Amino acid sequence: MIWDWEFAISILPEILRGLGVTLLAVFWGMTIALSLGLVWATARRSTNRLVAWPVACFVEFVRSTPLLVQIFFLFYVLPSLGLTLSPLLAGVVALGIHYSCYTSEVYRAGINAVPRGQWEAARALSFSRWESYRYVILPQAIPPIIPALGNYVIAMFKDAPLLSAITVLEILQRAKIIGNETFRYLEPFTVVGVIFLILSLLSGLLLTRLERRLKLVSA
Amino acid sequence: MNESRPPILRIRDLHKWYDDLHILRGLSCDLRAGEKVAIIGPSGSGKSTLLRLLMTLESPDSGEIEVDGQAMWSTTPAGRTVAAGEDVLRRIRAKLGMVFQHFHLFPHLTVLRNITAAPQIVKGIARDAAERRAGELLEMVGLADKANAYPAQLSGGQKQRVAIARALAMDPSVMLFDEVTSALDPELVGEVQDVLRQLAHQAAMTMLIVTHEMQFAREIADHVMFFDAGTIVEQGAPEQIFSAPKEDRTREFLQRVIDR
Repeated sequence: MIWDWEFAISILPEILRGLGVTLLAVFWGMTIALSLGLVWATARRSTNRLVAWPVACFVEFVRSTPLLVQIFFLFYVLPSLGLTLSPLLAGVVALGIHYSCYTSEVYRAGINAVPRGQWEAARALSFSRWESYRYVILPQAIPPIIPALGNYVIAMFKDAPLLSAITVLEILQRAKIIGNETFRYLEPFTVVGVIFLILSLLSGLLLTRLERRLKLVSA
Repeated sequence: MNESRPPILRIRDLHKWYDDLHILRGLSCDLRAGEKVAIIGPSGSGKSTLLRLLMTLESPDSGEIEVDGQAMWSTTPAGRTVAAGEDVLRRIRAKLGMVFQHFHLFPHLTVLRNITAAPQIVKGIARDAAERRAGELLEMVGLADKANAYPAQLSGGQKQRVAIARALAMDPSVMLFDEVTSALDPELVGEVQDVLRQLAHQAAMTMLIVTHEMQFAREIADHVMFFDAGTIVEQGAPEQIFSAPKEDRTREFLQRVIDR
């Protein structure tokens, strides 16, 4: 099998369309992961054990089961419970929930790193718990953890091809279809691999620079 | 002083344990509005714990606390110690201001925002009104030129003066000072004490000052409480406590700290 440049270039538009779907899934998945993760993190710190405990169990459960199983569950099992999601929506929700359980641990580390005196000062000024989070704790907890959260964006990007398993026309699925139709697999999968490599390296570079800037700001 | 008015702070038989440590052992006392009370005593005697309980940073194991006639902690007929509802606690907390040994300024906010945040967010005061008040308070503590600085750019004494202004911005009627000069370099103690002296001139302001500076306690307070082992061993006018203590334990403590 010999690499065919002409073929590789001819399939590029189709694969880039797939990349668009992948990026869309990662964008919405990460939006869910970042917001839900914060909800889990604060819920686990709640003084109400009826809130903290179930959330802690849920987070551990999700972290201990494979993402692919969760994707299949949302797509194949939920319809029998009366909730049918489109492939893309099921995939986005699965990515979001799965990664929210990881971002929640990052948030927790960030929140725990804020000195207890900050909570006490906020309380002494009559801030409610919610106001303490909003105005005192989170503005201090989040900047240091942005690089760690960024790493999960890259990780989610690399996990997104799992959505091909539930027929989402994302980048890998399109490459597979091209292969099935032309019986040439070398170019489609190589192009996909190279695109992942380039984008991961680029975002890694971006993160390093961001990290350096955050360090400068906090110093 | 009008003796018939209810006390602004009423504390009855307060007990607090830290695991195996019985830090407050049945503490009772009353404070009248406008009183300036210095609390002295060896470390671990429960002085700071009392302030932390008043600010609801911690909960007592038993006992009663009333602030301005409102129950914060009370005892049920069955003998259980219960807190007031969160809305009542919030109202009570708003009457109290606290200044900490280690300042606890908000490092991500400027000096001005440190002072205006709570009035704006908690009390809903308009921004320009809050900033005007903050300006007056900064003037009072001598830091009008530092409004736009961040806490990290200030000395310890400056930080503590901002912390005092921040607490005052909520217009509390009782101020709790928890060893506010203990973390400062010796040459910075004076500037913070000056602010406290100035504050002590306000007749309506009730001040509860936990301190290790005996000379300062004697000068600023009109009432001194000596704490030891979780109870008030002796209390009275500063002259009496410092010049003619009745209790052996008070005498021993004063000898130890003054002979230093």
